[in-house]
Amino acid sequence: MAIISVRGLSVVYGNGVKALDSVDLDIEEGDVVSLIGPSGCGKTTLANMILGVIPPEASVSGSIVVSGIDIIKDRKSLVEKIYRDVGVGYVSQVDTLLPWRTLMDNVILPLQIRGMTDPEHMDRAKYLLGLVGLQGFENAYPHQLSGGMRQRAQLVRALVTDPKILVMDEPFGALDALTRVALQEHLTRIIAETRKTVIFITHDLDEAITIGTKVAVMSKRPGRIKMIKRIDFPYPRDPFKLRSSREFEDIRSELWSSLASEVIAGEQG
Amino acid sequence: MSRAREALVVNGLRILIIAVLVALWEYSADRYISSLIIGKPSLIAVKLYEYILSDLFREDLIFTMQSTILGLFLGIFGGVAFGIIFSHFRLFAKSVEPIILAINALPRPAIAPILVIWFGFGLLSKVMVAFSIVFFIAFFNTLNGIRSINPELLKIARVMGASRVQIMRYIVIPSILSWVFAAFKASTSFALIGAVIGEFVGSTRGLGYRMLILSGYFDTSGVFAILILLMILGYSLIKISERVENIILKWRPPATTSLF
Ligand SMILES: Nc1ncnc2c1ncn2[C@@H]1O[C@H](COP(=O)(O)OP(=O)(O)OP(=O)(O)O)[C@@H](O)[C@H]1O
Ligand SMILES: [Mg+2]
Repeated sequence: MAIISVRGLSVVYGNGVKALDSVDLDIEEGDVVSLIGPSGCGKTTLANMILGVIPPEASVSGSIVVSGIDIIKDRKSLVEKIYRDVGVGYVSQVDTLLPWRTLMDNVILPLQIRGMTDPEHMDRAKYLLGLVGLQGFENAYPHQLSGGMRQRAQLVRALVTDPKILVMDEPFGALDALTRVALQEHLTRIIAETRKTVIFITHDLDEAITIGTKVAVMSKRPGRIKMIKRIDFPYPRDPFKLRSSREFEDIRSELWSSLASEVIAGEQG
Repeated sequence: MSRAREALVVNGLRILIIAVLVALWEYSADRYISSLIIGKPSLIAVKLYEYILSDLFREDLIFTMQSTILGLFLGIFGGVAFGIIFSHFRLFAKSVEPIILAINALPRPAIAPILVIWFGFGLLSKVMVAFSIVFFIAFFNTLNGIRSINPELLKIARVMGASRVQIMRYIVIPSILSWVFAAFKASTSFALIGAVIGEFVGSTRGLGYRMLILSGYFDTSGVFAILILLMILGYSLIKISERVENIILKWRPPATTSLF
């Protein structure tokens, strides 16, 4: 059974903007779904809905079932419980480090909230910080870090509780190409080791294919899932090797034409 | 210009400006204008010295400081607490807001007499006058602080599974802290104003009361002496609260861009 199942989900914001139009998406346990689509097509909206963050003035129809709980219709306490039990890590598209906390205190916030500040988890935080190249900055405040460093810190914060579900909204957007590829590789290794279910939003087609076991292409606004492509490269992946392979090229051009028609259509509409 | 040099020049200029003004004042007093009207620095210095050595000074200073500080802390605490509670009950907030705005629109000196009737000639009425100003500053700042919390931070906290209490502790309170400190800094001078107004209206001691008495005797230099003391008191309070603010809000980025 799918761990996340979205059925006929439509979202109209309070100002009348229709962000999502009857979205259907099934995510199996262990799936890594790359979500790609033109800017403003509703990717962040979809992620928010799956996270149970429903904008108060929006009108929402359809259903989102996570681990058997309908997070739109069921009681709030039940929804909160399911997220606590399953564990969700989230990397926001925007900067969400708490400016009054040091880097270290920021990444251990989920541990504090869940009462997991035991040495083992604290060590995990330190290990992850090292993995993304942030050792030595533990005591820096967010305003003393670069945009890319803050994004990497958000990634660590999302991973520190070892959640089962990971929702990442353009997590590598502010990184240079090289750091980006290195982190893509780390991420696929972490996902493979800890068996996570992942929603990975990106603008970068290569990145979508490198990370995802499935790539879901969204149409222009109001967003629908236009096509889903399975990506069968074994996990964990080596981004450099992958990108020079023939199959990668084929998948890339197939997805590109699907995406391009949306972008061109998007410019007209 | 290097920073050290700039500081030197600024400090030098300050001393020079003050010295010139005081010298002009001293020169003009009793020469062009009677010192009964403008006082006289040398006389003020003598009055100040005598007053500071007297027992009255200790009594007055402690009294005024007590009402200022009590009014300040009670007002901040009350205003912040009420602001937080207020923001949790939307309908209640909406209904009460115009009442609060109306009360806040009252000029505070105008309610001082009634506060003295209610709370007597002692400390309490002065605390209440200071409180009545500070409370509203803290209240409105807290409301603004809560309204300006980054919704994205609330979202990530919720996704992390934070309870209402945890959201309060980890997100809301730290977010509004800089607003509370802004209120605190602005309130120090207002608390002092409140305390002095209270003493003007009805008191038996305090710096404001003493000043009123001296002005009754046309002791202009005495009045100036007390004004100087009030100035020092207000200035120290602001400086202390700035220090505390800088320690507690040390995470804030320093202002690096300068308009000039
Ligand atoms: N809170 C909101 N109120 C009103 N409209 C909104 C709100 N949030 C998003 N929208 C609108 O909904 C549409 C989808 O926004 P969303 O943020 O989901 O896009 P996106 O696919 O994540 O875009 P990007 O790739 O640029 O991040 C946009 O047209 C946006 O203007
Ligand atoms: Mg987005």
